[in-house]
Amino acid sequence: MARALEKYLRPQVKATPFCPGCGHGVLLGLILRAIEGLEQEGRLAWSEMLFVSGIGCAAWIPSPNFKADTLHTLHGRAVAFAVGAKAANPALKVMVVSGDGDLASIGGNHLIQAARRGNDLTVVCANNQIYGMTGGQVAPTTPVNLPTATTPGGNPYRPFDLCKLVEAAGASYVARGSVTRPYDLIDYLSRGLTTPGFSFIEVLSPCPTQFGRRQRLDSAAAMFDHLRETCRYYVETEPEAETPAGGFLLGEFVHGR
Amino acid sequence: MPSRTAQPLLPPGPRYLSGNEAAAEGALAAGCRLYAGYPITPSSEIMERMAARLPEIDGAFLQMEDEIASISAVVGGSWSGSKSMTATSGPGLSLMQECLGYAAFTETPLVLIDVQRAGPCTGQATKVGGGDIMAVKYGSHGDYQVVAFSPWSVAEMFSLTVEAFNWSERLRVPAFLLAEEATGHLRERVDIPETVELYERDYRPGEAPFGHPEADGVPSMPRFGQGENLMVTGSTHDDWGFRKTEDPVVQDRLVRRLNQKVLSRADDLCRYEGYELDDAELVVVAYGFTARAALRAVRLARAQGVKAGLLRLITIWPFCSRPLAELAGRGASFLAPEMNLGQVAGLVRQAAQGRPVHELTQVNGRSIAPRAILQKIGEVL
Amino acid sequence: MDAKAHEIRLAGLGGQGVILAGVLIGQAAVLQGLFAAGSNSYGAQARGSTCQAEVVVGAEPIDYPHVEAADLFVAMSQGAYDGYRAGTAPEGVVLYDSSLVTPDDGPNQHGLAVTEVAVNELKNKQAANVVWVGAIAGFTGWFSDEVLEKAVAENVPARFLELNRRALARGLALGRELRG
Repeated sequence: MARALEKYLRPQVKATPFCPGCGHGVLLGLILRAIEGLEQEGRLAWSEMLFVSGIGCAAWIPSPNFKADTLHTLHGRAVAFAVGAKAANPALKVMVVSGDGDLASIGGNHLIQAARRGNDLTVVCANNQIYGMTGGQVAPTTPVNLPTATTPGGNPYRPFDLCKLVEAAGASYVARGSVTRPYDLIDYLSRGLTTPGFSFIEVLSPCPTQFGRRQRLDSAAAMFDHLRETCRYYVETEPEAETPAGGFLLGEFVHGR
Repeated sequence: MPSRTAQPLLPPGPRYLSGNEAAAEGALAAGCRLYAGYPITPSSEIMERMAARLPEIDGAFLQMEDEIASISAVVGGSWSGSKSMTATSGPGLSLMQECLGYAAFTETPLVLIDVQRAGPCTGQATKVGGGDIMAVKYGSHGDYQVVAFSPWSVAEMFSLTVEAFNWSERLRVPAFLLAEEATGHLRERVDIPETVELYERDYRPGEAPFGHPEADGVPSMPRFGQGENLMVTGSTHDDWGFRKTEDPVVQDRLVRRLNQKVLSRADDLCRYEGYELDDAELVVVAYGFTARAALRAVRLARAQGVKAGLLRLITIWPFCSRPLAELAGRGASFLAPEMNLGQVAGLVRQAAQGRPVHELTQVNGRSIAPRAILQKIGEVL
Repeated sequence: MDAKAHEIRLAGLGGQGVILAGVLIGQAAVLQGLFAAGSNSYGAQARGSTCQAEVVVGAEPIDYPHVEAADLFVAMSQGAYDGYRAGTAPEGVVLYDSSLVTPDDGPNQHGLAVTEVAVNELKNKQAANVVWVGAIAGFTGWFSDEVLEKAVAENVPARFLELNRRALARGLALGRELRG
């Protein structure tokens, strides 16, 4: 990581806890770069930041790494804790960073209700399409037919399209990026942080350990390649165009409302 | 100790309020500035009053999507610096249990008013119950402590809510007002005091926010936005909040301190009242609404020449063993009337040094009548 | 008022304003410097079928706040009378709406033409509950007119205030007449 970002990190933390090839370390850096850019433009101050996270690998992105106020909560409840923290001190800039299982399964109702109410939060969902920390069980974001620890015969269910879900619930800013396209993600994170109301940024972040090996994408490089090949950019004039099988539509779906 | 004298929001003097309304006013007088909750009978009037009152004073009112979100938002609000509370009943209390453990483990001050109804499960939602005594103390997993007070009047719905806030802030521990439907919905005269004594959270800059050199110490309580770069976590943590999920020494020391900081102050926390106890051969041990029926029953018994007395427990957690032990030492026997199947009677028995402890249990969704207690006094003497 | 606590029960049909009447009695007592404790039917029960409000009023703090045997029972409907008549103390007084209730032949029972007054004089049946509050106040003599007016003003919408003032005055007259 660039030396310039060290000011945002707790000196006591020497390394991230993430597996080799995990996308969460990249996302950690991109969040800091987005904030650094906004600070340089005078649009945000690090000292205003509160980072709230749930339980799971992604919840460890801010806690304890970020040298800021961090609230590492219960599984699924990060958004609800964040709503209370923001209500008690509206001067805080509150970012929730958590995983797909945390935000969309056990915490799914908190996510859509906060989007509906327009709570002034920036929610970053690191989507690795599986339960990583607990050992590769099926998530509400897991592709159909993928074998997991709890669907050995293949996942029989469809995954959520998280961006459509929060868009329908009324979010003010909705985007999906991938750690394979870091500069776009910095833009999305910056715009999410500066759009008033409920902002949601879904970040595709590969999990070679639990997801990759079940897709026979054993190396981190193979996972990154797969992500790059199967993502297509959202074009507003062709919103219904097909994405490649197993792939994702990337881009900004809601820009402030 | 950072205490101060404050004026309640209501002008001083007598008012005719419901218990739930009085609890809300007590919370506001105590300095509560964030309420997050979810409607549930028979506690909803607390929430409705807070919805009307908090915006008048720039406080935050949040109706959340469920009780889990409610207590979660309360914890978030508390760490942002607001005295924060929620209120619930029956099923809502069950949903809050995981986060109650989070609050205990992260030493988050919050107040939870439980207006008890007839359970288990949905039970009789509009009817009175008293079956949450153990649930508020043991409902979340692991070893932890809470503070709980049991009001017997509308006046105490006000005053004990203030007490709950004070102890919650002082010990950085979840504090309960363990009320009952009969008191929540009772309307009664309450004399709003000129002033209330408040304990404000104790922030000592530079000190560790999650540890204390003393085995029962209460750490400094900072808030978000002060530049402390707090690490609040429900995982086992060291004095500064770093997760220590493998270290047996840190885990052991933390769990013991969180329990000891409450238990070592049990004598200060222990509040009770005695009526006709001096020569009492039979001591009725009662709390909450049932204590009012017990007081009448004891007076009727005295009128018949029966040497009965009342020990009214105001503090339920930590449990006040000392007055029971003293009475047992004088040779008294005990009768515990309860709107549950003997949850406090078991605790009385532990403190009673082998003296007889009789039970009068009632779980039919109705409060215990004075006559029923009087009759039981006659039977056991 | 004497030293003992007085137990009052009001009962009627849901929608007759029984609960408000109980609140007004309790609030008047507190404004008068007395002690009062009230409870009532709650939830769905209060909206349909028979509904009751209890108020215990005394010059001293009240130990047990529920009505055990009513010293004064006000029956605003036949169903309420039938349901709660037995809950009256042996020397208790029963006041009933003379156009809605047919009483048994027990002692200490008095009919008051409350609904008749509300319909014929006040032209609003809904005002009967405040007529009853006036009647109870007139019969017991516990509350000053000023305190009663204040209790009513704090609890009824402004647009009905004038109607309810008249209802209160008519009730007071009925109650005082009965008291003699």
